[in-house]
Amino acid sequence: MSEKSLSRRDFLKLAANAGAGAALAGSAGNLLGAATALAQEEEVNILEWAFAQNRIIWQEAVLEQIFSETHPNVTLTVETIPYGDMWDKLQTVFVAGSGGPDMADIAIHVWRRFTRGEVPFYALDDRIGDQMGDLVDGSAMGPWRHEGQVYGLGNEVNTVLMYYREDALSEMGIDGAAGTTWEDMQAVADEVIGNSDAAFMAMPDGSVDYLEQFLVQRGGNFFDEEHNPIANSDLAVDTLGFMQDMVQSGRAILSPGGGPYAEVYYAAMKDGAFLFQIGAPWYQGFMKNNNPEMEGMWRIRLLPQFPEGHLSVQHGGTGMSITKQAREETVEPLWDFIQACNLTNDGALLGFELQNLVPTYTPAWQDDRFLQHRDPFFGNQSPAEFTFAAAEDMVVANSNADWQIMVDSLSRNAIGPVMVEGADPRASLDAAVEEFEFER
Amino acid sequence: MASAGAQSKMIREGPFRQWRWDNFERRIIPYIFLAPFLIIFAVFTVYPVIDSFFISLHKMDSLDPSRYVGLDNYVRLVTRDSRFHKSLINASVFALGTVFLQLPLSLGLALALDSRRIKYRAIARMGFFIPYITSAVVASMIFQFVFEERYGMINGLLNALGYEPVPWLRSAEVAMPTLIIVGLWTWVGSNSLFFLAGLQSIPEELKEAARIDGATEFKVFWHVTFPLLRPVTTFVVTLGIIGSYSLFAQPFLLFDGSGPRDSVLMPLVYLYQRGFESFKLGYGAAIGYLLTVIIIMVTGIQLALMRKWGS
Repeated sequence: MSEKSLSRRDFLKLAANAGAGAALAGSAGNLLGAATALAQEEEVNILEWAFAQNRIIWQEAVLEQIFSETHPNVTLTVETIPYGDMWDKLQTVFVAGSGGPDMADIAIHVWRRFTRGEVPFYALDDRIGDQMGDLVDGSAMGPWRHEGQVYGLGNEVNTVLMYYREDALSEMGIDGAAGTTWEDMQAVADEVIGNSDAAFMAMPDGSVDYLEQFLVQRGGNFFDEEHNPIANSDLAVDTLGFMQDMVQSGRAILSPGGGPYAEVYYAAMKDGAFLFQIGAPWYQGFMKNNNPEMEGMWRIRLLPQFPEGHLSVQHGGTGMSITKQAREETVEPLWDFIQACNLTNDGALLGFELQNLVPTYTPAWQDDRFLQHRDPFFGNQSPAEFTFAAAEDMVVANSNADWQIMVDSLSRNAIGPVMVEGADPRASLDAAVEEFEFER
Repeated sequence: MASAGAQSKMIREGPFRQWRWDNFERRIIPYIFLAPFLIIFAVFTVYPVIDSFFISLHKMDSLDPSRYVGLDNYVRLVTRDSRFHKSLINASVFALGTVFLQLPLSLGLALALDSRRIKYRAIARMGFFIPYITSAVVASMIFQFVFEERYGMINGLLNALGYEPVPWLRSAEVAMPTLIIVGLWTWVGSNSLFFLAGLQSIPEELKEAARIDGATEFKVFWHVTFPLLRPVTTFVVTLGIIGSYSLFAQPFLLFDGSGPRDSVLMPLVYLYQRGFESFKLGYGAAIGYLLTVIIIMVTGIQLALMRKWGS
């Protein structure tokens, strides 16, 4: 083998080649980085199914005003599906295994239906991480928790509050804010019906909402922790009896249209047929939208309490969930978007400004804008003040995949017969639970 | 230059092949034109019908893996499901309302419309047909207001006459009559048009002959007109019965499902509740199949009775 010495010229040549190679390699690295960056900047379109226009407006505002600064490449396509069709369609695509959205806005009381079998949403626990401590569990995560994991994130604190007609009551010399217990309110109710043609409140006969709210407020439930039905417990019988007595004593009328979701209910509200009503903060939107001319007539107060139980109860609400059919490239931006909506001060405040609903993200509560917000519909009261106070002792109903079957059975076998026909509460609740056991 | 044998072969094969192609075209082309419909029909009708039968043999709850259970769903429906039985009874009551109320009213209306004494018959016919073509959703929403207990039109009228308001939509006793009234509004007019067509097809000579023989107008109707309306009556009754067992929109929308104490629970509403609200898809499919069998049986019995009446 011949040995060849490296001349200076050769060395320089080699060094030059090496330098050029390194430079090329560096350029290639830069090019690769640029290509990756470009890939990251690729357009990502999130497909969402939603049903509530107020939430869609809020989410689009977050995307436009907050999210697009950090994620200019992400766009949101919202398919608005009527409330009644949304759940059948979701169920169908989950059973089919394809055709679903990346993200869905799911109503609290419906999402449990999807927990039979493999949950079709991604668990969010790891992603929420330490921020769990910043959330009102009962509204943000509790309703979406299944077997220890959270599958959705709710943005609004849905404490049930009470509302009353300040103008009509003050004319009668009645203080609508007085009384802290349901027993106190019986006396107020007697004053109302004694001094006017109006009833104290309207009791639904076509919905179990009030029964569940009163029962859960008292510490009861439709199901125990092991998902056994207890909707015919002594406490439930007593609670349904309390509602029946309200109607039979003339303190309450049956809700026109069956409950507070019917148009005719708001006609009766405008007509002054009842002077008190209860409901979560989203009912405030129903009241305002249906009877804007009643601005200034209503006031908010805390829910009266039973001798046992809690100050308030969580009712309703909607959360954002990522479906397992979400396209891979959308999952990360989706979570970033959910975070922007629910776990940032700006997103939460935007939601409050647009929807008048107090966010579940508690750090945002420190913002003065919450307490400074006054609502002229409620005589310039601060709705947030009441929600904050009620959230201190708010309880959440136990729920499971069979909840809807129980609610249907209670509605048919108990609420209607007891409230309309004066049927025996115990026999009716027993019949409802018996039918539930057969159908579950 | 081709040989004589080759020439004769060309002559033989050319037209033959042409004939074969023409024949093939004649047989195939219609199917090609029909193919789009047939494919869509097969995919969206035939396949679901067959597949749902297999689903009905399974326990298929929501997203749980399905499990073959044979005829368990059917056995449970027939032997133990009191709500299904109640829905069949309700549908039968509604069907009786259809036969015994709708039919006489429709026939009476048709006789009135056939009378030359009535003016503007064309407008009246159109008017009576409007409920039939009005969306059931729209009609149900309007009837919700009409029957509303506190502010509804009917109770307003009753109140003006000094009567107590009737809980049309929330009382188990009154719910079925309310539904039958809505059914009358929807179908009496359209059924009367079927009867009218039947009346107009009866030769006038037959009625004339009866009158010459001394028959009164009632006897002419009872012995000539009515028997000759048998095909139309059969058609209307058959449609009414099938419609009663497959009623969905009116009870579902007016009574938010099945009404107080299931007083207006109909089989299709029950199917929807079990299949899509409780997501028991196998059970829902079994309800569908059993209901089909029941409708076929009831219609068969009714046709046999009609045939007996005819003979």
